[in-house]
Amino acid sequence: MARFFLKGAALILLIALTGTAIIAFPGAYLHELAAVINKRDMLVSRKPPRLVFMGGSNLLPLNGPALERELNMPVVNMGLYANMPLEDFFDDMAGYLTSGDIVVIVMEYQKLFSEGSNRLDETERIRVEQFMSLLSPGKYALRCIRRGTPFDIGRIWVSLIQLKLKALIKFGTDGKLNVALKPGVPRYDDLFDANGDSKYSFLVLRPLKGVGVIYNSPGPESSERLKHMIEEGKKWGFRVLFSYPPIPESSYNLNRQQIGELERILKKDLPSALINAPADHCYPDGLFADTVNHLQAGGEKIRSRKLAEELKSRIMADKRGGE
Amino acid sequence: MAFISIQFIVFFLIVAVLYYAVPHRFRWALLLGSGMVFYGSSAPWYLLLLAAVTVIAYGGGIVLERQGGEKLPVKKVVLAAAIILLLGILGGFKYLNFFNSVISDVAALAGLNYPSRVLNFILPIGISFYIFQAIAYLIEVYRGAFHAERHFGIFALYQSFFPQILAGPIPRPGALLPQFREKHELDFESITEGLTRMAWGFFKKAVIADRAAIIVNAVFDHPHDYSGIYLILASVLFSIQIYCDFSGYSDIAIGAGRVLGFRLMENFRRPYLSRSMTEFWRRWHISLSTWFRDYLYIPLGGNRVKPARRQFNLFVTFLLSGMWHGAGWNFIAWGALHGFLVVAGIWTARVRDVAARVSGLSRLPALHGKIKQAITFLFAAFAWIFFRANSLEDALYIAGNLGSGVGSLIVNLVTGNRAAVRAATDISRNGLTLGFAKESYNPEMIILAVSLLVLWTVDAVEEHYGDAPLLRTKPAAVRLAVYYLLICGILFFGMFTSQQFIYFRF
Repeated sequence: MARFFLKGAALILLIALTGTAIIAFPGAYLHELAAVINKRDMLVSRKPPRLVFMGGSNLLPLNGPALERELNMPVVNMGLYANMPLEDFFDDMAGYLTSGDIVVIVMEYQKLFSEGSNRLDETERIRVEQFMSLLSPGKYALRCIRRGTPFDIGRIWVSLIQLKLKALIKFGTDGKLNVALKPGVPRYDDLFDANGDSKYSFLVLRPLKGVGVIYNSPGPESSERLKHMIEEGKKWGFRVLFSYPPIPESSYNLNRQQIGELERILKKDLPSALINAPADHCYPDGLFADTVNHLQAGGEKIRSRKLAEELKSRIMADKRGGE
Repeated sequence: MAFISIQFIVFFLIVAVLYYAVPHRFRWALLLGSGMVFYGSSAPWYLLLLAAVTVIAYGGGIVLERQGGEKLPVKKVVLAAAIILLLGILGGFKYLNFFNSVISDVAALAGLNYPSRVLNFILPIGISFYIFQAIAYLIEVYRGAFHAERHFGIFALYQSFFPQILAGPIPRPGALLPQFREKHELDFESITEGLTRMAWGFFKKAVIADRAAIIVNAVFDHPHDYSGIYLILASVLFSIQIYCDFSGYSDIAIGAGRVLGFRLMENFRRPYLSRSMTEFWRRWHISLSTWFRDYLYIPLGGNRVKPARRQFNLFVTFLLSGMWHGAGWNFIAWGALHGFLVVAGIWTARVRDVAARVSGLSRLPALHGKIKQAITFLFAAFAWIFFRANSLEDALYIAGNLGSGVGSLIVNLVTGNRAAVRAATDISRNGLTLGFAKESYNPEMIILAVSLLVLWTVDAVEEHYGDAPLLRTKPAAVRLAVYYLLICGILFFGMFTSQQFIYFRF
């Protein structure tokens, strides 16, 4: 009996070691969300003080170079995917930020209206957490244990191994092994520029996804999460600002009451962090691409210009206040 | 509870440990309780149905035995009543809506008004399997081949044994019931054998079947969007999917039974290596095909009747086998097609023999055998179209368009017209290529191809060496390497989707 269990244990150990070796071995994951690794590396590589944008995919088409020119500081666009829990992402990145950095949070409305990451279905939660766990594996392993789902550690581990092996098979058979051996998303440099902005525009599709959706009334959690980030920023010595995301006029008009309520709450709870009002980033529906969160290139040009002005005046005001 | 889930692995480990820990006299109760938990976890009310079937079969068996050894009219009536009751339950859940719609269609054709209402109830998982199991028991007791089980708990366990309750293998009472009274000692060779069998089943299901399913679903759900070459690809892949799905399930069931010391009936013997459709049915879903042979085909006269009657019996048996699978015209067509193919095999036997002699193939038995295998596979794959298609209309469309665009594709390939080939093979749909994201299409196809090669190699080796446990004779290092590769294969290449086993629907 002892031999049977000993052999079984040895087999399990061997498999665990193989999987861990695959994860530890530098290489790409065949999934676009693996770009979190590249974006983190980009953040580390840029010299402070930096202007760091965090949020969902609404930030992907941001015009980082224009903002850099206007504000005369390096711009790092960390925006990737709305379902990635922003507070966790922020906490993971906080260690890489220093005094003088400015973080601008641009969270999609769906996430502001109490549709937090905890509301994700199980498959989506695992999908998102597997990439977040690449940033801080220990934290996510502990979280799985604390919430009573220790098997999720295994699921995430297996899923990451699979994505790495698929990248290896794909690029290995294409004779581009160097792509498979580069950490993060394959061919990151083809997808994102030096600021982390997407090189590709969103496809223009109609009807816009999410148009006609009526938001819930905002609750206290809408500002709690932002407050947490501001407090964390204070602790680490950097500034956290908040910008409203872009919204199509039709959605804005449909949710005018809820958005007004949200604005009142945020104005009350985080008066010094807000750099604009919801109406400032309300654009004609025609400027949006495929969803209510994604602007077309033309729309983004306007949004980035407005953001530059808003940030410029805020930074100037802060400087004046400081003097 | 799904077989491919962490819940099942934990459940099975607990049951296996407890099974060997408790004294033999309590083991039946443990297995019965486990069966209830396992089956009831899908929906607790399923247990009521299972209980009803168990009570009918148990009571029916005792009443039948009390009638004595003679096949008296009363005994026949008791058997008929019990079977009608059981088939009534099956029919109520499985066929009521189908027959209702058939009556409605016929009434509409006759210009009559028949308000057909669709009754919304869920078909309980495994109902077709455990009802056929109960019928097998009643017939065996009626024939005097098996004594009625008096211990209700043991009989309830026979009906609810968790490894095989959801999709068989459909056991014969004589083979399974006595095993519940046998004392199974802790035997690590059996446990290893069972676990290996389970792992092989997981591999077939998670790595091959569920991967092939993505392509199959993409094409079969929108057949009009695809040209002949993809309809052929999907049909061939469905043949592989259903084999790996169902035989994978059977491997898990047989392996789980083996870990607990039980020997369940084999359900598959490399069916795609068959050289005729008759042989195919001796190798495919053996527990069901032998059920139909023993309890339908033979009572209808079997081989003892005149050839024409025998062929009719064969056809009827296959037709009913098709109906057993599902309440739909496509299943009936699938059964009828198999019936026809088997009967046509009898009709053409002499012609084929002559053709083999004339062509010289009979002097090359190996090549002749391979050609027969290929033709049998193609027939089976063609018939599967009717099984998988979402409707009879879809099946007929797919069957009728298998060749569409194939000729021009070949011409373009031969003439090197790359643009035309690219246009014909551009099958992106909603950003997906045959159901896969564009980025992952190539690796998924490579993994599928390699895993099919593994499957084919294992099947070929088993075919060559028979069913003897070959691995057991190998050195420990070789066995360990096989276990390691098998588990790594499942974990690192398995598709852990929510795709259920196909036969759970029946």
